[in-house]
Amino acid sequence: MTGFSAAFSSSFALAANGAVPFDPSAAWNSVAPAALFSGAGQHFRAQATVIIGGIDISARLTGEIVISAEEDSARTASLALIPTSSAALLALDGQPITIDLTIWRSSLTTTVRRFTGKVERVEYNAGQRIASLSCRDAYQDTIKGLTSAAAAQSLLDGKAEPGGIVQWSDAEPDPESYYSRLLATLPGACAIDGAGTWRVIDWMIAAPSATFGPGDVFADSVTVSRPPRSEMPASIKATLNFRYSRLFSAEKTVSWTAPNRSQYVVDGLPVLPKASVQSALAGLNGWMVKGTPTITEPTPGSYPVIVGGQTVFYTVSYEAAALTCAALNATLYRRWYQQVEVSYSTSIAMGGLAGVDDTVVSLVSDFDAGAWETAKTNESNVGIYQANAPTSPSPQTGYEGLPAPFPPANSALDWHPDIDAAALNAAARHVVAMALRKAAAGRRTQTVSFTRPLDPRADLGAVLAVNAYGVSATGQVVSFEDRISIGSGDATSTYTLACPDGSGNVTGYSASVTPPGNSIAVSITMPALDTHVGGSYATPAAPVENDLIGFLCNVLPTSNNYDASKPVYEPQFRLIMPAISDLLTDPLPLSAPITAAVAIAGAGITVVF
Amino acid sequence: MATSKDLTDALAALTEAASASKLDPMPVRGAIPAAKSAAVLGGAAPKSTGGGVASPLVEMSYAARQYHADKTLTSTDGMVTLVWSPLYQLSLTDANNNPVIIRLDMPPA
Repeated sequence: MTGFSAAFSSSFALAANGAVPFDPSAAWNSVAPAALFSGAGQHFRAQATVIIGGIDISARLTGEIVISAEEDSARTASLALIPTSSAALLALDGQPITIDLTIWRSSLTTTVRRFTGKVERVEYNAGQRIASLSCRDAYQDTIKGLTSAAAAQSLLDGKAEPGGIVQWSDAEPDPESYYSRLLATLPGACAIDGAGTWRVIDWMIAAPSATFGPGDVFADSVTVSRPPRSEMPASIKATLNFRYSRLFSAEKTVSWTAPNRSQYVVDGLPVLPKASVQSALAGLNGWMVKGTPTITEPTPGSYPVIVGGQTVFYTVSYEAAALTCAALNATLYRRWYQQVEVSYSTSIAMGGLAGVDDTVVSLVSDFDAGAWETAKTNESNVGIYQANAPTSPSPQTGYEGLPAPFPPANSALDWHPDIDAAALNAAARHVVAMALRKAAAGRRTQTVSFTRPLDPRADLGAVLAVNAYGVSATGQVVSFEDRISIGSGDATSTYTLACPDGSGNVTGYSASVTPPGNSIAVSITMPALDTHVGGSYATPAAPVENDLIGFLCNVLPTSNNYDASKPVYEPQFRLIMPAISDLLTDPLPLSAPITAAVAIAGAGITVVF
Repeated sequence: MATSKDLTDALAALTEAASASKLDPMPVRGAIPAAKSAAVLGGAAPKSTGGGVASPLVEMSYAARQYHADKTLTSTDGMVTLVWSPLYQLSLTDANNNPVIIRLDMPPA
């Protein structure tokens, strides 16, 4: 990969944030003798050595050489030369080019490679016979050449935080977009240095490698630039929206017991068939029987019943008992889901006036709660054994036949099996990293620029200080421009230092969130099952229909309790399971904090009039 | 002239805009209504779920009829003997297009 660091190691991809520390002093050429560049009133000689396609064309240079570099962009160079022939002119396109700057002062000298790239464009002025060359380094080509997520991560020294949000597609690779989204989480910048080596520059502002006073910079070149309003909102908010399913389970025990035998004799009540009970249980939409219901048969035999002072016998045959329900005990349950969206957020105060910048990312669990809710049980609610069932090696839960998970009874389970706590925290780091980079980049638009005689010692990321003309600041080089005029002999370097208002030496962050949880208790209330007798003097004239749950039957017209004016029921076994409130079904937005700490390196700028 | 920095920033802005996670609103589900079920005595299917045979029953194919083994009827004077095939199975279709099978017993000798 062109321009890629020889120090590249795939282990970078596995490194945690900041595990590979950046040394700003590495961007400072300490080999060059300091005395070469110090002292007012001195003079020096400078020469540019330009090699294009392996041929030294330095002697053909004319006009001006301009080399400029900026964070997160390609280094460019422009120069003009007088080609020796048309063939030489046509051979310039796409050729590799290096520019070395050599400086002499008496016995001191140093040579710095300031540019490595390719000739991007050639414009030829036929009248002057001068070719103007625009050159660019391999920054874009390196990004475009990425072939995997690991390679992209390595290019950023493993310091970016994809957070499970930024995904590489092997089917449709988009290296520029992938790199750009990773870069948006890097608390630093990238560039290719003058020697053609890819560099990751942490935004660190510690002790300066050099301090330039009034005698080191041109008098009118010191410029302070404050952040533009658009770069300085009041705050930058990082929001992680996490959408998942909250799974509920409601259980309710229902029981019914047959009325006293005397009522069967006196009022001629029918018995309740077991089949009717089973049919009613099976017909409940959405509700299921947990395990099997317990339907108790009456004990066969003849039972004395005293009616009007007379003893009569109520007989239960074996045949009738086998088909009759004397008591029912069952647990009914249903399950459903609720969509929950937790908005985790944190804010970074910027001190600006331009509102709030919102950085939002979202995670959505792909669990199919709809299928889970509507799944029918594969089990029958009719048990095999009526008594003396063999001991089962594994106790039954009653939920057999249904897909997992199984929320606790009358409770809720926050379910997102595809997004665990680690994934959630990674996503939180991702969004906080994005917000931090925005904040840091915004504050780093507070800059000090100055121009001094050609000084190619500092590269991007170097920490320099200025203390001249009332301006005092320490900052990190975010851009520079070298100009060497072949004709006039002028040779200058202009540096722009980012001097953000911040604290400490390191730009970094930490972020974590607490996975969602709940302590919901589902409360199901419903009338008790009972025997409701119609056509009787005791029958209400206007029964509350929703309370008519259980066994509905009527007295015989021959009964002394018969009242022809009272409602007569359709004999049946009836169940009504209560509604579930929309508070437990409708989408639920929640808010929670991101526990985050951010730091932006910098000490600002002091201006004294 | 736009610098590569400008282009990088523009690409980043476009990428961020494209990847901004604007989720669709979560659909409102509403309350789950009460569930009612009733079964008439005798164990018929719950009224809420319907079911059973829907009239009319129509025989779609005469040839689908099945018969018991042949039987012989002889007149009381023994002068006339009649051989006939008692009907065994009748295949019908109800109004819901569900098949209904009627099977008849062998007549007594």
